[in-house]
Amino acid sequence: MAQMNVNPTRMELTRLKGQLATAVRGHDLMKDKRDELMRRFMDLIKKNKELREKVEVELTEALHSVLLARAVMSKEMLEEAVMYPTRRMDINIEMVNLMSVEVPSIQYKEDGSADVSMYPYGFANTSGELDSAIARLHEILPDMLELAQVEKTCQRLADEIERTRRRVNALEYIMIPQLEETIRYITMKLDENERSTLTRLMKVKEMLQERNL
Amino acid sequence: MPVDFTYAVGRTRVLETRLLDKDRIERMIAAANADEALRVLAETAYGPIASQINADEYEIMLNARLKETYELVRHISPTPAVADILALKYDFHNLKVLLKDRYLKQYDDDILVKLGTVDIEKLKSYMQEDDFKGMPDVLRDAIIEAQAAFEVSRDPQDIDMALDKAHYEAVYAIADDMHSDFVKELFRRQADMINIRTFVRVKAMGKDSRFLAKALLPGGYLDEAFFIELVDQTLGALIERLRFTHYDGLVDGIAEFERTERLTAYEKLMDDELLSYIRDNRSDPFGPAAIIGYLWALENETRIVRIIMVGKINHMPSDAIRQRVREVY
Repeated sequence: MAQMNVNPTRMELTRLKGQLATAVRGHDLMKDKRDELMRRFMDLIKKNKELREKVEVELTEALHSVLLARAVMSKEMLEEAVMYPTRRMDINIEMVNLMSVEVPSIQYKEDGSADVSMYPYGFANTSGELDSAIARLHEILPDMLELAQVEKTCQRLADEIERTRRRVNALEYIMIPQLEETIRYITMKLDENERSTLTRLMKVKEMLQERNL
Repeated sequence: MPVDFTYAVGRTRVLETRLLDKDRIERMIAAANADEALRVLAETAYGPIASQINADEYEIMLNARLKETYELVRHISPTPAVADILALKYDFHNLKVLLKDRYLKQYDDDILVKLGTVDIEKLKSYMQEDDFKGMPDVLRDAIIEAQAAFEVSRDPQDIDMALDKAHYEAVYAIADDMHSDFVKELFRRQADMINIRTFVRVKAMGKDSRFLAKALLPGGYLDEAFFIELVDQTLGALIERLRFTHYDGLVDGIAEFERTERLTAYEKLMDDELLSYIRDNRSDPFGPAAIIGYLWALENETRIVRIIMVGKINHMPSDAIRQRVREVY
């Protein structure tokens, strides 16, 4: 393991020891964060799966109805039928903080008075298939919005987990061993210096005693 | 003085032979994919265009075929009324688009249909300048009425409904001028069949009788009171009442809706019944029946081709397509 390129001084040693303590504490914190993120992520991913399956089933049905309507109506007539929607969805996306990850929170409000029919077309030139298509699509819109929210949250969390894990690993396998190695090197170097000083002193003392004799 | 249709009827007899027959339609349905289905049309009247387009551009082909047929029919028939009576729906479609467009303010040119009796450029400039003087009376009255309805409710559905009503009034007016019982009968039956469908749809939406009255078309044999009375009853009651009318043949479609909540079967029956009524009357060599019948059959044919092409492009199983394809003339 590579050690850092430092001067083997006592001051450096103190500094590195401080760094090591911080790194170890940081590592523990990061590990906790990663575990908690994982836990949340698991919950969300389960919900995501359920929602996606539900939306996919319903969307397939709805698009099937659109397809059937499309088959019996000309393109122009179909587009005319739906060109002027009677319902509006006001969508408000806010960012909320989930474990220091910015995740979206989608609020929606349906706008449009209840006495205006949600089918914006007349019945003479439109197919009955269109009714069920519109009704189904109207029904699944809230689910689709929720899915969008959950899916984006999952993505962001996954990114954050990835980043946290990399940091944990960096601390665990590089930062901390490197610090430890360097600390050991400095300690040994200092010990070595001490021993040589000691030996020198002993030698000097011996020489002095010899001269006095 | 009655108009003499003999020459035009003679010409349509020849044109009729160029309609797609059952075998060819069956071959289209059985085709492996959309390209194959399009190729089946190569040796037909669609051929010249069919060979130049991709499968997903079938609408271009259908529109061209309709346009050329309308032009031809206008050319050979002694009065444009026979074409107008069917082309009016395109005018009303264009009016709907332009009127909604006026409130939405987002211009979308390509959903206007060029088959109407009034040129769409003219129609556009009337609408832009808010000057309806040059418009045919029926269209002008219709648009004023639809506008008034929308101003009150701000509901685009009211535009469609007002224009649909006006459309049928206009059709009856042309039919009256033609002095043809067949034509009058045809559109009254169509209005009835659409009204039955509207009734079923309105009931499925859970709307009240006031809404129903607004949505029904005028002039059918089954009047508003007939439907209003049935609003609070089950669809079974409607079926029972229809058994003693011309529309006996449609009850299976309504029963199918009760089971599956899909009007697919009813819509097919509706088209088939009307076509068979036309077929029964096409032998008249002096009246407009054969010519209107031919145009009707052609529109029916474009519907069939559309169903098949949409089905093929979206990989619908052949059986599912076959269920929806209409009878041929």
